[in-house]
Amino acid sequence: MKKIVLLLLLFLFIFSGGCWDRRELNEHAIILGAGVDRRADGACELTLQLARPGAFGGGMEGGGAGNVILGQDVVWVVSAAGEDIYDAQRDLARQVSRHLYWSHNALLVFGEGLARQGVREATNFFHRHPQSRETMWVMVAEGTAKNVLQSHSELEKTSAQAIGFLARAKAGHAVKFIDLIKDLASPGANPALTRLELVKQGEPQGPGTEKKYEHKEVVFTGTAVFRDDKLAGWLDKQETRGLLWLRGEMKKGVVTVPSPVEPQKKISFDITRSKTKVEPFYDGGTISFLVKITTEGNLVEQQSKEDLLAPGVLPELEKRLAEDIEERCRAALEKAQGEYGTDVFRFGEAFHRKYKKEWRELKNRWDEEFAGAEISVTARVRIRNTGLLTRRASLKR
Amino acid sequence: MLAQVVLATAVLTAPSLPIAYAGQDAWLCILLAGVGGLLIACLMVNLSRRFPGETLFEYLEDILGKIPGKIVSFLYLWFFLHIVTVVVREFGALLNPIFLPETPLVVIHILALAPVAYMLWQGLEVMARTNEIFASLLLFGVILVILAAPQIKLTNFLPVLDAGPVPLLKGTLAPLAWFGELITVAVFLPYFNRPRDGYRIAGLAVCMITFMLGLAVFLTIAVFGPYVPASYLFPTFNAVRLIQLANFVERLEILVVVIWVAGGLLKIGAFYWIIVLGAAQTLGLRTYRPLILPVGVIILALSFIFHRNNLEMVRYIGLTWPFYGLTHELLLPLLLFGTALLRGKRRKKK
Repeated sequence: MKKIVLLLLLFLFIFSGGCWDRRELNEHAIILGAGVDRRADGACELTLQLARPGAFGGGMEGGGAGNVILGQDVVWVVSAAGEDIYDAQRDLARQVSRHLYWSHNALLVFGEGLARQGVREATNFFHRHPQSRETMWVMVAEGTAKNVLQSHSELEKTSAQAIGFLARAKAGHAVKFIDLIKDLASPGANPALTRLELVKQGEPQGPGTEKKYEHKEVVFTGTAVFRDDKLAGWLDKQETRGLLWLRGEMKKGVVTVPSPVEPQKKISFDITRSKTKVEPFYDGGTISFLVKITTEGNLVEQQSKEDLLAPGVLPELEKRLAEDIEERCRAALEKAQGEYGTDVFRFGEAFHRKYKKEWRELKNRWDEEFAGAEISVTARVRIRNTGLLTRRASLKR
Repeated sequence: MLAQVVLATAVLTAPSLPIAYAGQDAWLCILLAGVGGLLIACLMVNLSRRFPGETLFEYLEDILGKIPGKIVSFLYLWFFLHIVTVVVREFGALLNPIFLPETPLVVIHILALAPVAYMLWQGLEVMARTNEIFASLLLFGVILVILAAPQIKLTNFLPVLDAGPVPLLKGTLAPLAWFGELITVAVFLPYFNRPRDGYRIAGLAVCMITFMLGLAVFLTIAVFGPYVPASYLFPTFNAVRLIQLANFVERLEILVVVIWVAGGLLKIGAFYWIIVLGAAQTLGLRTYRPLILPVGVIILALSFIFHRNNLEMVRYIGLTWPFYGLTHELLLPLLLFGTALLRGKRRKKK
């Protein structure tokens, strides 16, 4: 009896081997970046940047522009249109020989056209899909998302990777998918996403590139500002700095101001840490906010001649830097309050925290209230270090 | 062990419901529910201690008499059957769409029930010892919260008491019904090594559950804020997905699945055991072993009949379960307790 059972088990093991959902690595098409556009006829266009694992091999030059030298493309960009995103993805399944695999997707790009009509519908697929991650970066392309994904990076293996590194390095205002969702769901905030643009950037040099060609690299050029889920407009690089200060997300960055003594010469300050405190005030009629920014950092470049060791010079400089920060914040506020009428700074949430009863009435027309709010920004800067020099060394004294 | 009975599934799904009602104050719901749970647990321990050595199903007959006792016993059996089917379905709801999308649900359910059935065949002690190993996995939960620290924003909890008392109480109902699952103490108590410690153990279980559920709710709100998590099927799971440390400590959700599978199996085991034991005692059988297979098949079938899809399950947990559960967990025990007091029933001293 026991032997029969054993035999039966053995039989089972041999013939029922494997699992239902097994899928080998080489059956996957790994998605590195995804883009969604709205076509003129209303259809959704999904563009995917797929990894070509064969071309990733090598590693003889340790990454870099291997794809150019070897004549091997590292990625394959495909796109298809459908009634919604999943429909488009099904359509892609007819073109791509492998099973589309979302887990490694690190980038979601919305085309400008889609963003103007609203991104809310376009988020659901990515949130519902078990493979897709909430930690991917979400950005808006100037023009179409397809264009951005079709570009390539000179330094990194793919443009999606390059964008990911830029975002991680806090080169601009970068937002993860989950933050977009939170801002969409919150009545006291509006989303602001990175703006991507293709810019002609440098010339590739070296023995492999005798044949010069036009190269356009993806660059962060500011911020896309939303009102609810619709793109309202853009913030340029300077205003984006203001946005970061006001959101309290300024982690790295440089502030350059004219020297107090010689206005045509500049002094630069590198931020190491920063804190933003937003306090709302409401007297039943007018809403006002007091924003306090405290920043620490180092002096990194000084073109002017003043002696930093002299008393009063550093505090004066700190004051100038603070004024510059306030100026940038005001520029961002002006655009958001005046031109676009949208609270992308999450001030509504700060208001909600302090005035929970009043919030219930105000939250449905918060953006209008925000546009009329009085907001004053005060910054305080502390210079902690000045690099390896104290005063300038190259001056004849 | 008792704690595990409640925790296993609640810890993943818990945050959705109270957050849906009470927003950022959901953690208060859990605390309130914890207090309620403590009362329920004490009630049951007190009741059980009047009948030392007897399980709920045995002393039901002592309190109510033979026939009514059996009827109420069946009511409870049916109730526990409901619980176990939800657990089985929840078990599948996580594994099926996310990790094994093409495997038929029924296979996952069978795979969940088969080892449990084997465990029951081996007896309660095997289950208890398995639990000791699995319970240590809950430590992972605490570690995960620490790892999620960079994503946590404490300002998400402000303002406190935003929604007012009514949503708060609404949000408390569902967790309270989970705590109510502690009435199982009435079945486990006679099998404790030291039944005298009933209060202490039940109290400890409530504390543990409150802590872990509180932690889950805390994590979810701290990471997602008050608006988003109400739409999630498994908010804790989604919260853990966000953990990203130093660019290489990420995608830790598999740990959650480990906890989930281990806890789910034990929870299924506990209720499965209660059902077969209760059925055997009600029917007057000497051993519950012959019931394991038929009950398993019934559970399997009902897990599909009761919940045709995951949304039906979610609706059931959110809307039906709090009232249905509390009827059996609070109302009936209270009635029983009253009757027992009135009729002055105690187990005859030997």
